[in-house]
Amino acid sequence: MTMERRGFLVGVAAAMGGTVYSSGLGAMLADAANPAVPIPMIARGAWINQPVDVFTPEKRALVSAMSETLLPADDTPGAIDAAVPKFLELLYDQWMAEPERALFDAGVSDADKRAQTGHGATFANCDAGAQRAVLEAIEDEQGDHPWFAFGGQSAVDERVDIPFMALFKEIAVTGFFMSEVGAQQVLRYAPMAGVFDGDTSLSPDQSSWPATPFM
Amino acid sequence: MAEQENTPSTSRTYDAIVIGSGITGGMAAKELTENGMQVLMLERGTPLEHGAGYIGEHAQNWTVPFANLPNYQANEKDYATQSKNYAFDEATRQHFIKDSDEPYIQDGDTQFEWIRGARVGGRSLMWGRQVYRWAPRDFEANAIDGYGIDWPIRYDDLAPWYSHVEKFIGVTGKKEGLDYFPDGEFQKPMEMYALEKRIKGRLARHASDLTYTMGRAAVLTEQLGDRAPCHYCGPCPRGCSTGSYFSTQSSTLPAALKTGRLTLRTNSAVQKILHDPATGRATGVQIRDMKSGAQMTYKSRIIFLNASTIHSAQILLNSKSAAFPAGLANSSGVVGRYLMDHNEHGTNTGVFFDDIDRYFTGNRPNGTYIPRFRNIRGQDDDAEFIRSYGFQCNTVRLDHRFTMHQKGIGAGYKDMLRKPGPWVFAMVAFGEMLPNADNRVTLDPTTRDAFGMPIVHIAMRFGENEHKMRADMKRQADRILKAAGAAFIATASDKAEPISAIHEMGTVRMGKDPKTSALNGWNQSHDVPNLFVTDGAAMASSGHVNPSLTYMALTARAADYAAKLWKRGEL
Repeated sequence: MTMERRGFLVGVAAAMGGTVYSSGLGAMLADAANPAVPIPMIARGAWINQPVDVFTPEKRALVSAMSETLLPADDTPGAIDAAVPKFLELLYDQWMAEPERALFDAGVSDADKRAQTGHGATFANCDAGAQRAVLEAIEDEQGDHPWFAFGGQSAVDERVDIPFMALFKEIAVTGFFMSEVGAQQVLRYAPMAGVFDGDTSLSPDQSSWPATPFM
Repeated sequence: MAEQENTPSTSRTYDAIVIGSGITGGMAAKELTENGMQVLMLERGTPLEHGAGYIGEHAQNWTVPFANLPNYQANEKDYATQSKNYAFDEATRQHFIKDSDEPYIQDGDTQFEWIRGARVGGRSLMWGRQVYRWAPRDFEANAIDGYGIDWPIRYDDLAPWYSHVEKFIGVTGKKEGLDYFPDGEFQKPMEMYALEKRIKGRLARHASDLTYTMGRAAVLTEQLGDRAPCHYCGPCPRGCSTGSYFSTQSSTLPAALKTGRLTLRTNSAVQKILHDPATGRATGVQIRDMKSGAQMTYKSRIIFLNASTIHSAQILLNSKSAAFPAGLANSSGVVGRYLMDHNEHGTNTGVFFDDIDRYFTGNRPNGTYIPRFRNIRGQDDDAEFIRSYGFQCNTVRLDHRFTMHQKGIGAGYKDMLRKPGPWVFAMVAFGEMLPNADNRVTLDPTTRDAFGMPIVHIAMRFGENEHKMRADMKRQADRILKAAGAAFIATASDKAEPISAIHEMGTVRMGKDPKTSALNGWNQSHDVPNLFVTDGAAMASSGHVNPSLTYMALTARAADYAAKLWKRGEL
């Protein structure tokens, strides 16, 4: 980790054309070893690298299968490669309040029930076609909600009368593309540019950069 | 850097005390210490070290808790208002106050989102960095149309101080040569996106009454002292260890420390400014030490009040005495009144199908700008409102954050999310708000906050002129987006939404007449000659451009004046 972080910082300095860095980053590196000072995020591991154990094995398999159905591996990694199921379990444990947990539980149970009724097996044990059909059916029923409008509202901000599929998509998609695998292997790894150029070319097969907050 | 550890002392008399370490407090401390004065700067927030303290700087997305989804449980409990700010996220939370520590009461149907800083540097850490000079007409408008009292100064009084400040803070921008949109001392402008260049061409043909220019921002594009040019990482409010945007930490604090004459005391919540009726002067301040809870008194010959618009009024209103029963420096009764903010009109969005094959490298921490084009020299025939507004514009290439709402399950959905969506051009109008005595800050008679201060009541409403102006903003945004060639246009509602431009000002206004104003043309109290208020509180009208540059210029000018009086022994 340390090597990677140092490498990143060296890259930043190089990108800035050899400008001498102010003392702050040196201190930041030094402080990373001092438990009394909050560790800078850049010196931390991935947020998902922490233990969590709030799902039963069956629920874990169900959430895992649903995540992979939404965002499957193909020429690029999928939800399981990016640890989206674990991300969702961590959110369930640390981030959701009771209403969201209830919505999440009802949603995944509903998907499992539909798989058993319609396809004769638990969701996790259905084939990919059946899994996709189940999630598509749920989205069809819930898709009139304003969340599904162009640039729609945020399920996290609104949190009132949000259908399960809106919450599920919002948190799974966010966890996927913000992950290390999602940012580097599904999107394009974007080391700090050091310059701004608003007129570069984009070919049809090129992805977005990983998201940067607008501030 | 010849930094000097000065220990705060209650027994000495400082040449000046500066209350607050934000955008104007830092500037006051720099100017006063550089003029030879021994200065004590008091900040009620906690220390924050430049560089090492920026724990969110350059955070990789996967290291941010919850993948930076808003942590709504923590936000609702402690950050109910702060979390609505655009600069608030899991990597900047530590720069904001806890609303639970210092609630405020909104009187009537006020919807005012009061955003506040919790650290040394105040809101200079997470400000929007846009800096525009006022135009000559802005200082004359009150006198011309009679709304508000006449400013005691004019543009020419402030112009050299604009230059002084711009050269020090570093401003990127493009000169346009317009008298109603004065140029400043600029470093080279940032580049436009391909779409912005295209829009500029279309506006020149189809809306030639407009100017469309690069944003003017306190972000470096060239080296300035030991501050490096911007490296385009993007989210400035997480902190910048290269000092590429102006903040107290990057700029004014190191300059003040370099003199060896600054003492900074943090965790120091000023409760009152003390006054001696025998001399008619302020003598010092009473603080609460936020670590020990102890009350302490610090003495000085001069006081600069830079606590931010609402807090500065709060401190004065809380500084009651027999000589000033309505609050210090308030014989006029205006302190706390004439609270203004900008008339911000939501996001008007145009979706473009142009330049789908153009993309970008780097994250530009600056937008583009359409300067005022209404009521420029006189009243436009078709304008049902007075004063003016400008549009701040942001260009965004949509990514998964915006496209996830589309329907789809599986590989096709994932591939759609991977690829950039269309370009979007978003325009936000910032308009002038007229002063109104009923828009005001008062103190609660019984309840105190975690800092020991009476909590604030805020009453704030838009008036008729603001509403009429918003209707025009909506019409003009639609016209401009059409002229720019947008394929789809969504204009914002012109209904007044919460007043939250974070440009609050006006509660301790300047003016010529001590009966109707609290401060003279040097930001000096009419009542208490060694008291200066140089933050947004001093504003006699709001203009419509982002105000921080004007606050800084007023501060530098007032500090120069105060230092001259000090050198002559008059203060």
